[in-house]
Amino acid sequence: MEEAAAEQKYSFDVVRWFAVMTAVYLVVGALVGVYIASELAWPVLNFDSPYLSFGRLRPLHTNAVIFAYGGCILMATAFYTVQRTSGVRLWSDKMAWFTFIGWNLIIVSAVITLPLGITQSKEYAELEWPIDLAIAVVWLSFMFNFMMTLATRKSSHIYVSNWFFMGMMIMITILHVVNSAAIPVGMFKSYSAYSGVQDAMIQWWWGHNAVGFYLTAGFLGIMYYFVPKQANRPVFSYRLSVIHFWALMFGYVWLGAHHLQYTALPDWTGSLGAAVSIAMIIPSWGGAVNGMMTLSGAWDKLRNDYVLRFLIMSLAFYAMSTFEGPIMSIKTVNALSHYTDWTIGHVHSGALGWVAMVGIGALYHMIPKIFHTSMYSNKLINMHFWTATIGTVIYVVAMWVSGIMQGLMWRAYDDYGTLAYTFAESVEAMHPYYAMRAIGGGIFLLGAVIMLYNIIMTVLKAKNEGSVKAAQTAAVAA
Amino acid sequence: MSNSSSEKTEQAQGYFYTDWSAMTSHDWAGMIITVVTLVLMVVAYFYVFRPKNKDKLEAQKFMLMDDEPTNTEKK
Repeated sequence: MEEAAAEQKYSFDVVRWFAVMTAVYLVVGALVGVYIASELAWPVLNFDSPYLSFGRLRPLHTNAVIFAYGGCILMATAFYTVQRTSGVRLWSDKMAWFTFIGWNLIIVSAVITLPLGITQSKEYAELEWPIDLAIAVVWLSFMFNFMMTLATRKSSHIYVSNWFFMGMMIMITILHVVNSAAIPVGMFKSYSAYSGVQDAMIQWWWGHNAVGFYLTAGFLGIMYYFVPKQANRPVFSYRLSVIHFWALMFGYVWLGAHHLQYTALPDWTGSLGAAVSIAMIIPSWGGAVNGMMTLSGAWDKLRNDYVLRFLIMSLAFYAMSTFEGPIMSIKTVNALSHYTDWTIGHVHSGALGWVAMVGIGALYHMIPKIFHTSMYSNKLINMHFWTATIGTVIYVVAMWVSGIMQGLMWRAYDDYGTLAYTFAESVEAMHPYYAMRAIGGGIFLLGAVIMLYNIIMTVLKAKNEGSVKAAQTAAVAA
Repeated sequence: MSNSSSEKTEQAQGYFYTDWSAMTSHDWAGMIITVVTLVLMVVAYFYVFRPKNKDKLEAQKFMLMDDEPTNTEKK
């Protein structure tokens, strides 16, 4: 009865589609990632084809995991949670479908254009100007629908998860529009509106804030709804969540310059970026502790609840990567770490450990609720948890070792001031770690495939049971 | 000893010295935004951690536990 009431009251159709596509895109994105990781270990996999070269497939991997997987889980959870916390249906079903179709067409256009080499060459913003315009329109439709749903809410208070989603939506709109400003010279070619050091500064203002607002604020919105819901306990401290939100909003926009230490950018901007990065440890750890301490007094739940394991493990990785990042931004550490695989290891401890795992936890929580049935297999969820965790750890450790070794080899010199190693020697030394990274990524990919299988079987189970239809047509007491 | 301490003082003065007449409109805009952000952050901390506001804020965390959202504050 409760399920029927929810099904009839809320708009779950578009959430169901976004949720299923999330699982599909995680497999696609991770598959491309494992392939390009393998190319670095075994270059023969290029097959001398420009379409399969690392340079073209790497942006496809990042776009697939960030915008396809990340975008779909953010849209699924934002549309789901805003309805549940506001007690009202989505403001416009049609607009939500426009968002779904538009976002997926953008993903398809990325899959076509990036391997063809059509790119603006701006990291995490490679897509050419017509697609950038489409992103702006679809993103605004997502934001407008979300805001209007909030505007019509039944509750007087706006729950903290919605604040995080709103922060993400507003900031990503500003960042995307400013960073993507370009002068088109053809249908598939444009040049950035900025040049030289300004272009670099704008690029990393966007680059780091794509991490800060899209992959952090948005996913914290997920965390603040799904951790308490899955644990069936209120969040540890609501006051801490408020401070977490405002500190994140005020602080994150200053960090971008730490990506450009020791470049033509004025020295003080990098120092400012590093100083604010260090300051951001406080709200980040406050948030991570807030999420974990929600389980205070009920840690035994982790023994049997595999979904909760994903969510809590994601918070451990969130705490770890938000400590590692600021440390790497300090000039002394940056002198060793920059341009090495340490950065790749850091990014993936955040991407696989935090972003992917919190999204996966939310997905496993949401699927039974929106399809009105139980998951096909809990054992497979457990198996997925271990493959995701082990895969991530192998990946990250490989990159830590390889990155620090790279940094040390590049800076080593002999008594005559000559470099001790050639660049080619450092590349050769990386081989075992690149193979190890491909294996770690492969194990993570295996977990993603297990989840996709589990979700498809759950959807088929719901279809056979007729649970969605039954919930849609059941008589509900007023 | 006194020489090195005066050098340090000079160094510190140099570090904090600002040529206000050389400030461009961009510099002013940046400085104002930075100071306003800092003040707003201090206000946020003060509001959230003021003991008087504790119950009001913490009451909101229970709204998630209800299937139907409830009003925990007056509009």
